[in-house]
Amino acid sequence: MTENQVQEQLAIIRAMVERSRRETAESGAFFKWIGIIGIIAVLVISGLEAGGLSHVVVAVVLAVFLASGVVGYLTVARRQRSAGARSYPATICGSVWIACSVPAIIVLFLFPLLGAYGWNLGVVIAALFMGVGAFVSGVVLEVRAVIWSSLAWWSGAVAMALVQGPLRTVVMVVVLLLGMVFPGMVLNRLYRERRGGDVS
Amino acid sequence: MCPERILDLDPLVHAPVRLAVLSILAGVKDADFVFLRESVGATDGNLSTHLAKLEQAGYIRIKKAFAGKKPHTTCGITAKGRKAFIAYLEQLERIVEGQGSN
Repeated sequence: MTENQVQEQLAIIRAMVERSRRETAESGAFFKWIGIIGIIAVLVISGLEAGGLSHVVVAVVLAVFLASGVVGYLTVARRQRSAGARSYPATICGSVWIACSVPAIIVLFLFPLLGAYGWNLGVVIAALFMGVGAFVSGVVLEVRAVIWSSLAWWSGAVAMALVQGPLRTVVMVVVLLLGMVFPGMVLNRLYRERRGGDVS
Repeated sequence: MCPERILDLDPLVHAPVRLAVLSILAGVKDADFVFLRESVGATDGNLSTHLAKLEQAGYIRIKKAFAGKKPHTTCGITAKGRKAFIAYLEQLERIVEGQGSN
């Protein structure tokens, strides 16, 4: 085997590894859309509370969680279908977000319904789970901005425990912007760079 | 270059199309037939032949299903395939080192 032949074999390996990495890169759509849905929901809930319709808030939050789950699943499924391959990081991230969302739903709805604590505490604990999801996703995807976004969730949880009313709404919007929309934008920028800007 | 080193190379991995397929599958959980075909640049028949050889050797697993009415074939690397791919890379590395020292 000549040196040229060895280099040809190595070039094949490099090209294929780079192509599969490029094609299966995380687009950030999951983060971005969940963040946007969350912000709209927070503003709607705030409006409902201000309008004296607090009794429908739980139903709205539950609907938002279900909508987020459907949007998240569709976004990931669409991405994987268009890529034609499933990467290990994407598979792990999907599992981590399911693992974080299930306890988040339990602490948001089940425990307050069972009278374990009031409705206000649920969102604080749920934010901690979301922070775990963001942190692990950042580590798996090797994107520092996503790792740091977990701090927004965890510090936001502390802030939400301390404030109530309109100020809490502001905190929640900021947390969703920094904890979901921002990492989604960073991931999308990296995705576009990796694909040479050839993304709609 | 020592002839015995060439003989050490796994012929199942050494063919360019099969090497390209294993290089892709080593980095993903699974990939569908179209993705592999477009990445490798082979024809349907050519790729099918190579995939069948890799499957027979136990290097990949092929799953055939239907997405609606369309057939959908996905491939994933097995532990045996990953081991063979890594061994092949190590052999290439040794060859490069050998050439460097000559």
